[in-house]
Amino acid sequence: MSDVIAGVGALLDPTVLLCLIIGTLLGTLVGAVPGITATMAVALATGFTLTLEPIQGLAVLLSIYVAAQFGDRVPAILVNTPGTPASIATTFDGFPLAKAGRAGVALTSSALVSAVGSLASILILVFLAQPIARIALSFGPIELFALVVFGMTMMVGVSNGRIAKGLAAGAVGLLLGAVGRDPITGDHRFTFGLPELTSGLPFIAVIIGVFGLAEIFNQIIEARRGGTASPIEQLGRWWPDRAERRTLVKPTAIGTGIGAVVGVVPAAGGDIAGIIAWDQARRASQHPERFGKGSLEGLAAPDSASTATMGGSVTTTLALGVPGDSVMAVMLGSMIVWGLQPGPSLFVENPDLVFSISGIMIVATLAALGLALVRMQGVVKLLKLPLNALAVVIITFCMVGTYAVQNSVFDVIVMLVFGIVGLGMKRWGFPAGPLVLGLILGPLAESNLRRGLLIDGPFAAFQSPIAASLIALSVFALIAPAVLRTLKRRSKPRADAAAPR
Amino acid sequence: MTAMVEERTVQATEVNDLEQAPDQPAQSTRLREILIGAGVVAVGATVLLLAQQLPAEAANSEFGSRWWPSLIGGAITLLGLAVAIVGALRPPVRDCEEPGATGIWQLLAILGLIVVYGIAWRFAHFLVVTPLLVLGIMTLLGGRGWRSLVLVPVVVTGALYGVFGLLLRVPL
Repeated sequence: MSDVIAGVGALLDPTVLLCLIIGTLLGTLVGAVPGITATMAVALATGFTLTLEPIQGLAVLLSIYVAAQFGDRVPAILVNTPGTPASIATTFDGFPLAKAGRAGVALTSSALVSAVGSLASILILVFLAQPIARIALSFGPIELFALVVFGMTMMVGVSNGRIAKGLAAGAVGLLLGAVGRDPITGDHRFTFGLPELTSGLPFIAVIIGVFGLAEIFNQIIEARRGGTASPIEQLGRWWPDRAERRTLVKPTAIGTGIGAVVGVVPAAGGDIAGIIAWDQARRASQHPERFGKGSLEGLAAPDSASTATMGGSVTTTLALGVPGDSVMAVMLGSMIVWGLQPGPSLFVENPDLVFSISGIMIVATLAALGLALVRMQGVVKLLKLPLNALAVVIITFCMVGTYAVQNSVFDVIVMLVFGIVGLGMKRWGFPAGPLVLGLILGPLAESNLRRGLLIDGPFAAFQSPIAASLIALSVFALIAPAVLRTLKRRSKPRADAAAPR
Repeated sequence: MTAMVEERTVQATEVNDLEQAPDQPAQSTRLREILIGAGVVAVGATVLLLAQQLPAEAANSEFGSRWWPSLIGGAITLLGLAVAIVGALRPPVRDCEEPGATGIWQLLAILGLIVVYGIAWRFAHFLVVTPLLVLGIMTLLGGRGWRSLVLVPVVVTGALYGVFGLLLRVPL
């Protein structure tokens, strides 16, 4: 009990509260602007938080982390551009909802379920940190590989009948993830003598290119001369009505559960949790046909899932010293500088810290929720921008945002190239999601598969029940829709023949 | 002001008309789908060739540097064949508007402007070259009047500099 009092008491310092407010504002802003990710904002903020006390610095960094998860939904819903990778799945139903004139309900629902996911995940951090960390520790290389395969097949499964093209896009993504140093031997692969490629393709630049630029490029080439555009004009109501709120409950529960589990797995973050949750909520829904076409259920599941990863991600980082996601990797460095060594001994040496961190995340969640609900009216005014102004804002923010990640012009060139690649994929019917997921998770998949095969031999996946189950689920997820379609086609003529004339 | 509101309403209506297209795969001929599949096969074959130039596997390991790229290259090749076969048997339904010649020209011109901007940025300050880029894009996309050609460049440049240059301390 004294640890709880000491941990929460540390937050009563006015400077800590000020740091929380600054972090929340900054996080919401960076989340809402495509091209600025939470990882980048936390990395940049690290520069001026290292001089602060650990609790103050953690307040800034953690509140950026939390608030960015709220802000990134806004561009995902309004302009079909994920503010950060965690909101990739938000675009599946968020943008169709906005196009259908329900942007207000989508934004409000998203903020509410994101808060539920975040708060639930903080409970995990408080009460289940140690047991969950022990489970995550049992994931070996082959299980991690199987988890990546599972995540990617879920992504392909959302390709709506474009399985072959989705798989091809995912395979190309995995290939792009192989650019740079071999994760095991260190050999250079596909770098073509360019030193910038030694550490791999900059995935932030690729994401911004295929999601942000490609969308606006497509709008430009499709627009009629003199025609200007705001993507969404009819915003509709702000608050979901009673029936809509009721529909949010089940997918939010599914999303929160999936996010909580995925969050504790090292390196698996909100992007993969969101996609898995979207697919699982679709399977559990009474109206799966509405998913991808503007379903509130399809919005609630991934949004609650991606925020629900935060508690688990922080747990993994602090309890094991293994970063739960890329933001945590950056934060890990800051904590070491502050003299806090993440790992199993952290909670032993600083038992009050878990409560301070939980308190920061709770306050940041509530502040970000309040901010999300209050500032939406202002944000939506952006929708009334004509196409030329919208294009200018998106193109320039994408360019400067990409440059700012590493102060690299090369990254901007990569982003432009992938903007054109993304445009081609869009025109030729290839989904962009699997490509990006392959790129992000490719190194994780490759290194773990090779380690698993080297350690346990070619049948490693079949020796692990967890890995075997995940791979079986992946195969099922790919085959089941095709089998069901075939069965439906075969049963339809019989039904037609049996129908009275 | 009234005229501006009306103009926006008309613009939005036009855009909403464009946005109403159903979200289905692009309609294309069987030939086009087969060509797309052939393109994917070509990518896979190229990867397989490039993978052979990577350092050879160590004598005691069959899972070296070239193993994963070769595996992926083979998978891409097979998936390209699948794309071609599926496209030939069941060509997908159209979903995108046909691109207009004006739109393609505008996009190429914008890309050209960005290249020029990248070169100019090496010699002039961000606050000097960025408004010119914004002005150029606005003009290309049909922006007219002081709001489009003066206000937007100034506001966008100011916002970019404020967020990145001042707030996030990015050296612009």
